[in-house]
Amino acid sequence: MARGYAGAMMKTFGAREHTLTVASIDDLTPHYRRLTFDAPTLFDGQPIPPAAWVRLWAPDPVRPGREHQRGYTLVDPDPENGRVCLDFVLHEPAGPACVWAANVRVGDTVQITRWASGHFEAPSPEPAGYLLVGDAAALPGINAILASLPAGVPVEVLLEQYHADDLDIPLVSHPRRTVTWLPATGDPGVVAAAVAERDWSDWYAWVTCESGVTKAVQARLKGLGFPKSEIKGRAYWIKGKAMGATRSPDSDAPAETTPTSTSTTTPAEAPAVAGGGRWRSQAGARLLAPLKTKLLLAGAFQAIVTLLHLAPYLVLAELCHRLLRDGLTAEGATGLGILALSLMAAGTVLSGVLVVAMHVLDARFGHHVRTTVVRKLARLPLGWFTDRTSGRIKQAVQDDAASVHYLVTHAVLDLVGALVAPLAVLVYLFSVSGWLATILLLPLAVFGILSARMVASSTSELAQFTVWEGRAGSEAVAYVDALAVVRAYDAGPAGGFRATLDERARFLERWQRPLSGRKTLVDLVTRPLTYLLLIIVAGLALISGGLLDAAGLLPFLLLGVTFGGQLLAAAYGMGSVREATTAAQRIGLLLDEPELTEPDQPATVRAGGHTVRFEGVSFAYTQDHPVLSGIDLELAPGTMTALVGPSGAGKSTLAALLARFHDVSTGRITVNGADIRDLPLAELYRTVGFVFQDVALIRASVHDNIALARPEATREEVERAARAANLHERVLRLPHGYDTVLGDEGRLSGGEAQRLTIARALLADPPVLVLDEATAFADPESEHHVQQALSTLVAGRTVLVIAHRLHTITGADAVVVLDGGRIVQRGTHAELVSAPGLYRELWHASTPLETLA
Amino acid sequence: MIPQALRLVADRRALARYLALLLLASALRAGAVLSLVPLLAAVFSGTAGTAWPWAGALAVLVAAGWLADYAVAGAGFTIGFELLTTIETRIVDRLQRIPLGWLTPERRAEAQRALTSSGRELCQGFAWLVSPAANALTTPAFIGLGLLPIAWPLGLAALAAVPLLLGALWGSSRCLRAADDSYAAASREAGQRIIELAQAQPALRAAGRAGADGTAVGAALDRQRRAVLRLIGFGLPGQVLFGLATQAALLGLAATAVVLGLRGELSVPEIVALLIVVVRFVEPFTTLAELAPALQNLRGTLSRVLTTLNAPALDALPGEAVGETVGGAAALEFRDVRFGYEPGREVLAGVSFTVPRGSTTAVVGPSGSGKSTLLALIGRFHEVGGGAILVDGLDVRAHDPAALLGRLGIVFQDVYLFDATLEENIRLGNPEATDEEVRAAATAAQLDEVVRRLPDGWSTRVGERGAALSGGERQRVSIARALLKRAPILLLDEATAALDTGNEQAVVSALEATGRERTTVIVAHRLSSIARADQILFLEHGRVVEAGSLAELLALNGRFAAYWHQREAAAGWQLNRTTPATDADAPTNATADTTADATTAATATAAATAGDPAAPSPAVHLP
Repeated sequence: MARGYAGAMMKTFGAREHTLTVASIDDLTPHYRRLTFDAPTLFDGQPIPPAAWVRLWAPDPVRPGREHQRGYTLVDPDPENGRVCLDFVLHEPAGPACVWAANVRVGDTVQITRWASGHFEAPSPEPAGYLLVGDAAALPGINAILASLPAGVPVEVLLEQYHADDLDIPLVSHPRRTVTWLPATGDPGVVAAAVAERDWSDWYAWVTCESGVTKAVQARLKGLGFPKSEIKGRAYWIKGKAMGATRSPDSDAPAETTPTSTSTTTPAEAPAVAGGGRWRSQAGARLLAPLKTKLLLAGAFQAIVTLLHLAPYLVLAELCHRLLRDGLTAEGATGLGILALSLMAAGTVLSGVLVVAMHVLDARFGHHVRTTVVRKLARLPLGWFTDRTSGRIKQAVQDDAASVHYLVTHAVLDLVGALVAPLAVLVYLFSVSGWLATILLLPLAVFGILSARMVASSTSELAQFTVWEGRAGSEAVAYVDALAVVRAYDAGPAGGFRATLDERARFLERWQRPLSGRKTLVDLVTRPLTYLLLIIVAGLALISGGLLDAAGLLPFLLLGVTFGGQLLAAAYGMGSVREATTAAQRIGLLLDEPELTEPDQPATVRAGGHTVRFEGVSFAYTQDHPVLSGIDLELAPGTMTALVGPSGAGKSTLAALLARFHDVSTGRITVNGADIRDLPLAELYRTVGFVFQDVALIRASVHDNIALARPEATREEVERAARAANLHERVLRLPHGYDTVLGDEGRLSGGEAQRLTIARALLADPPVLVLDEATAFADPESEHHVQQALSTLVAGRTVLVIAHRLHTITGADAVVVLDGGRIVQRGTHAELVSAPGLYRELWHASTPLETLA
Repeated sequence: MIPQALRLVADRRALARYLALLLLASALRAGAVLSLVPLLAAVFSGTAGTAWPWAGALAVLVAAGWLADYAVAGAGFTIGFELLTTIETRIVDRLQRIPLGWLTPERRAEAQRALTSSGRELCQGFAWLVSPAANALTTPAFIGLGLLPIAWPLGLAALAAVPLLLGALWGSSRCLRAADDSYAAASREAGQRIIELAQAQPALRAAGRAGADGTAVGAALDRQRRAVLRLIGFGLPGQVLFGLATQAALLGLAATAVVLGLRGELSVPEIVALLIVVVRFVEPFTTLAELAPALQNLRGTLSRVLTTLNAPALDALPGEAVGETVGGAAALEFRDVRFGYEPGREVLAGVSFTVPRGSTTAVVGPSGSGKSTLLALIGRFHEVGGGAILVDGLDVRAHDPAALLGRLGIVFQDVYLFDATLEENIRLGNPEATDEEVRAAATAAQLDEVVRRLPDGWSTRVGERGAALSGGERQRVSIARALLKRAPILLLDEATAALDTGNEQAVVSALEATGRERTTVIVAHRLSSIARADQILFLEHGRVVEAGSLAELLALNGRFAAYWHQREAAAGWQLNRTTPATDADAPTNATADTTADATTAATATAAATAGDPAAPSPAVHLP
């Protein structure tokens, strides 16, 4: 067990060792050897994340019995067969691991420890691209990352080349990767200089090179604006150090490398590129930036308050001290009493002031956040507002805002208090007696070791626990949601759910019951009574030994008994601070969503009949998946154009573009010659109105709901619109007629709500109308009323209608047939149905069904 | 809250043992603290050597305390594991018997959370929260009692301080909770406004009112800001009160000790020793305060568990044992059935009808007229408010619940599919069915074409709530499930979402074709489904206003006829921008007229069918 201090510590903290047996040896290049191992104990049911690494204990080639650790990335872990590979870079002079790997034979064994070792974790939010920097030794990790990345994301790989045959090491392919090999020159700045000076916004960097190179690259990235959280840097080896991978520069550096291209950049003087770039991952930090100074200040203030709260104990200590020294006098006691009272008053007043200040700060900040969100909503493309995103808005303005509220009003202050109090006590106690104070740290050490061992021994259960929690959670949701079905069919998954609950309970019991004794021990170790006994026994011993006078025991008895527990409690305080920063990050990401551009020089729509033109329009949500391409279409004033086509043809997307739900990728859409992107948003939405299937009512009176787009409309105008939309009589039946507050006092059925939106559109009176001819009328009983209302609405406008049932649009002035994002046919119904083509097929496919209905 | 938690424990002996150990541990702790008095008096009298025997006593007491605490933890774990293994099953048992209407969205979420984690949380609570909290409550009292013989005024003062400190702690956490609650309320209001704003963006943008200035949202945000400032009223005492009380108690007790010393009743070393004891006396309260947030969470867990466990259950009628069905009785009979989800709002206001064995009854009516509720009552998902529902001649409340549901095949409008394979979802109807039977049911439900299209065919997982399938497809799975069950009574809520797919048509026919033995009640929207029924009930405002066959009802030319004609018109509708505005009003007026005419006739029919001549005339039409 000659593994030195590190090995001993790992063992103490419960690290588990695995013995690997060499199963095969493959030299991928003369300098790159892949060993495949049988690793029967390595896989414990947990998935092995990409680029996870282990500590390999290599025998010292010179001093037998000694072992050195070196990190190796797990390659191709295969839990089913209990096999795993490790890749070794063979070089001269070689470190212990390298020597071992070079001389290994099939059947040899080696030990590894999987403890406190990192891996690659896809960052959230998803980066715009990945910059992977390394050399041959880093390739196992880089390959694992490449294999785990989604196909659409760009990846830049920068590799330092030490041997000519490094180029032959297999590299995992990725559709958007670019690989650059840079011959090593011995100058650690070569790779750093190769990182292009450009906008790296939202990129993520993984830097695992030689130590000096890693430092240089990290400095360069920092100069390029990369935030710390977006650089994962780790030196895989150190030049000139015998551990693992020693290389001498002259044996490796290709002589022909041109020094000119690299200049003399050293990490320290990496040019500070105008720290351009903006990382979405920093959105939370940006949001909290205005709070930062104030929170720091409040924290400092809280530290003072915390110290003041400790004061009574110090006064007591002083009182005891004086009593023992001078005996009891009324004046002395009174004086101290007054001091204690005034300290108490000061502490209370200050903490009161702090509470008030934080609430004021929070009210202001919370208001600022919500107002910013609201302003943001007004500038997002309408296409952004879907069910999914309304959940995000809800999360941001309610739950996340509450977390931030908690951060400002409680969490920071609590955390400071929880940290400052025990630390101040510790410092004070050390000043009284270093011996006794040191002894107080013993229970904490025992606590740390015992809990670490406990965690280490239940890693596989922890993984299973997560699985169980997820499974029980989703089954519970399904069970309660489906209670009616469960009762009607009293078996199957219902029985399954009970079985899940039972099994989970058994698992938890099997896992936790044996631990309960150990957990209790861990708990008892830091109990106040334990400290008390420790202080008394050690204190008496020190007093007997003359290392402490009796009075020196007082501060320990007053303050030293509980500080261990407090220090542990501080760890929990971290939790809510972390939660709040995650919440702030989510709010920040919402505020970071791309906005619709507002024109610099707003255009206006010319008066008169409204002609809408789509000119060479194409659109794609993401670069590689065009939804619409080459759309040329004119909607003549006062005509109705119907969009038809199979589902997925792009009908809804085309209609939505006219309302700027999204902006076109190429081409343009004009209304009377004006590009809709040049129109101020209010002007655009006054000109183009739309009625879609999903209906948004607000919690306000019926009047206000109808008059949403024209708040100044009179009751008469509102009523006229409601009448035309077949809604008037229904409104009269509501408890307060037009003044009924929807949601609180009255509810409308789906069809009625649809008619309300039609009334809204009628009142807004937009000259151009986009209409989703609703197929699934919310309630069939009022389908007829909705249809009548729609007929009224379209009269006299330029209409673009998405048709789901072909027979409803046979009277349209023009029918445009879309397929696969392109216009494949156009004409009137009569023309199209008489000629062979997609329209005729659709018509024939649909007619028999419709006549049945 | 602790009593509530204790009441959940079924094993009373384990509980008694736990409580006894808890008291013993507290007493030992108090004893250890009190042993400091002679110990420290000895130390500070300058004879540290004489303190060793007392230190030995302390060591013994602490060791005994450890043992007791260890035993308490063991007993706590025993109780915790009992809760862990039983509580969730108990919740499931209760959920099986609650009226479904009781499950509001909030209660649903609570039940789901309770089922996900309550066992674990309660187990941990017992092991790590309840014991220390109970200890912190009792130890100071024991110390106070122990102080009485040493220095009775100090003991009395300590005992008096106990309720004072607890009161301050209670007040503090009460204030903080009130602050949290009112913040949450204000935040919810503002949040809802913002979400509304998001959903109404198109309309608001047209009005140029999408921002925060001078709008309803702006007002809500201002209100929220003021509400947060008002929190200071709670937050201030919440954060200051307890700390202040602790310090005051500390100083008060110290002063008492000093005064006793000044009066010559205590020696200086004794005073010093007692001051130390006083500090130890206050300490458990601080522990309690630190536990408060966690206890708060445990309280949340408890209330979630109790909400569900104390939910009303559908029990048998008092005094009525599980009865026998009556041979030859109608398959289904409603006798003046009344029902409302909330008091004062009747969804069904006296519905009576009879469905003969082997016949099909279509329930038709405007949305909100109570059609789906009517079906749910037959399965006893809710309890009727008045009247009775008889299945095979026996009141549903007198049926064995499992037997009742065994007679019913139910196809809901909101079809719920489990996140399992297509086949598993169908097999739910009859777990013992052979593969051939499952295939046959699926074929009858027109699922073959769906199976062909799905990537893994029969083994395709349908996703959460069946998200991988369309609404119509989900309903077909649900129908296959019901077919496989071969129940004598079929309750079918026709999906509106599937209105336009021809397949549904075939499905419903298939369903009806599977033997004249089956009695069917169908909430129908499709004209063909209505036309095929033996009996049509037209439901409006919770009453059957017309009942009869299609021919009879059309001849009646009443509410149903008007509805029928409207649906016919809707089916052949064309969107036409040249439609004159007057056209829009015409059908409405026509409807109104016929409705008015039909009212009396409708009532008469309904009353006649229902055998209830006293039924009040329904207000069908408003001018």
